[in-house]
Amino acid sequence: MLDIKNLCVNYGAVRIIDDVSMTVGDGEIVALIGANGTGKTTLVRAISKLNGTDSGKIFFRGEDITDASADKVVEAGIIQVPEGRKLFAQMSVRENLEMGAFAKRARGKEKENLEYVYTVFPELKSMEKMACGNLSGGQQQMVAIGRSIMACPELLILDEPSIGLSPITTQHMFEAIRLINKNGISVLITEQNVHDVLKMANRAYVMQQGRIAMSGDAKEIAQNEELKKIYLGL
Amino acid sequence: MNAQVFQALLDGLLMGGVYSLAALGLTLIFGVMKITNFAHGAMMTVGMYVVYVVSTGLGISPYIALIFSAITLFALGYIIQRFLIHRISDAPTHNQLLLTLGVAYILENTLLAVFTPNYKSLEVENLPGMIQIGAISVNPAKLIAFGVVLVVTAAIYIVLYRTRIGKAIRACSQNREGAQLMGVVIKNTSAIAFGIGALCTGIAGSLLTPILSIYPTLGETFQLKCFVIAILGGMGNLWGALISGLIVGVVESMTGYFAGGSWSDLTVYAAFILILLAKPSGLFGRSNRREH
Repeated sequence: MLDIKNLCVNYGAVRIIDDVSMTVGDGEIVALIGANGTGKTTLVRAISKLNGTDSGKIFFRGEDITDASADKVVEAGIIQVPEGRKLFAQMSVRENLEMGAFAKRARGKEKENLEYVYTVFPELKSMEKMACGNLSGGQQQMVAIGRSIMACPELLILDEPSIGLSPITTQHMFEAIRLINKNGISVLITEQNVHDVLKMANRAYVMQQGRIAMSGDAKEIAQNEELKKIYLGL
Repeated sequence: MNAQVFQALLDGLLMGGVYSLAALGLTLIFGVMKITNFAHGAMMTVGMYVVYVVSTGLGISPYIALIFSAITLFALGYIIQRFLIHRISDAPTHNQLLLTLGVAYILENTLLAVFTPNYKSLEVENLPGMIQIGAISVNPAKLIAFGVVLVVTAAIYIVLYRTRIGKAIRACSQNREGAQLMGVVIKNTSAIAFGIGALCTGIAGSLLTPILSIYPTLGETFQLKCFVIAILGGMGNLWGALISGLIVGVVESMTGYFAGGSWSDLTVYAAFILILLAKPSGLFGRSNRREH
């Protein structure tokens, strides 16, 4: 459903994303892994149009979205849970979730999606009225994922969802992502927590200095000795 | 309470309400666009002249002409954001700031060219000079102004907290990219936010028209006052601006009564500096630690 072809992104004179091609299929969980500063975040930001691209194409369901605006990408069904979560800190949990249903595609389904968010994260129900800025990192991540579900994603992009979370919370988050995926939502996830994400993903891409250094079945990549040593520092 | 103190307090609160509304507009614009609108005072003057022209031209009450002023200023703010400031939204903040300053000069000088620098004043028919209640006297124009401020502020709060576009405006001011990722179109939302901010200052100006003599550069004093109030309230903090406006109004009027009018500006700015020394992010400013 997502098809990236020969994408390049420059930052000033520096090439951050260098000729990257990748795909995410219907119903798949695809992991994008690699060390810090290899361009994973720049790549997913480029998909959501938070930064521009210099050459190459991005297709979603066969449609060219390379030059679409951020809101058009959202309306097409690509919803991102960004690095750092980017919640509305002074708004309540409920208001943050409601903002998730801002897109036209999600407006009619606000009630039913809210119910669904509360089944995935029952904890959020009791925190409805709390300001998001006062929540813990794990709670904030639940709100961020919940907010994205409210937008009726077809492709959910998660940028470093486990950053700053305890191992238990991370497990909880990964279970939620699996559950969301089981309901038919494709997932593209960037992670530094390679071990866990490769267990969950169908396929994986390994990024190194802005390029795709390796790609394939997640289980096989997890077994690759060279990868463990060189790219992931395991 | 001593009648004189009560009189000063009342006068201060009534004027402070008008300051609050104008500063609410400034702080709202800052919250969303992260720029200080240096054309805020000039826009207020435009609002005053719209009321003056409509009121004298059509022979209607300035309080009805106020509606024209509100609509004009909303449109003016929308256009300035959408077609000028938005174009340089990626430029450094000081350039955006200079742009609003440029707009201020264009507005002021247009008013000078059209209306000359002569003072103009507006008589409101059927409005008694002063209302006497015991030892206290109240200017009815200020009383009406305060009432309108309450209504307009309540309306703006309903828009910001209860409507879809209002929530989008608040979302943009709290996390711009977060809002973008939920499908909020920054371009339109910013223009509407700027329009509402301009409407606030336009209505504030309109309410002052029956009280003050107007001239094209009158807005400059209010520009600085709004800026001080918005900073005292914590830039971007809506409640803070409202309360700080009342505080500045009361400080100003108390000083006027007990030390003479020429001391009021001095006292306001001295108090401003002292407060900032103690609380650098304003009286109601949030610490930056929680911002992401």
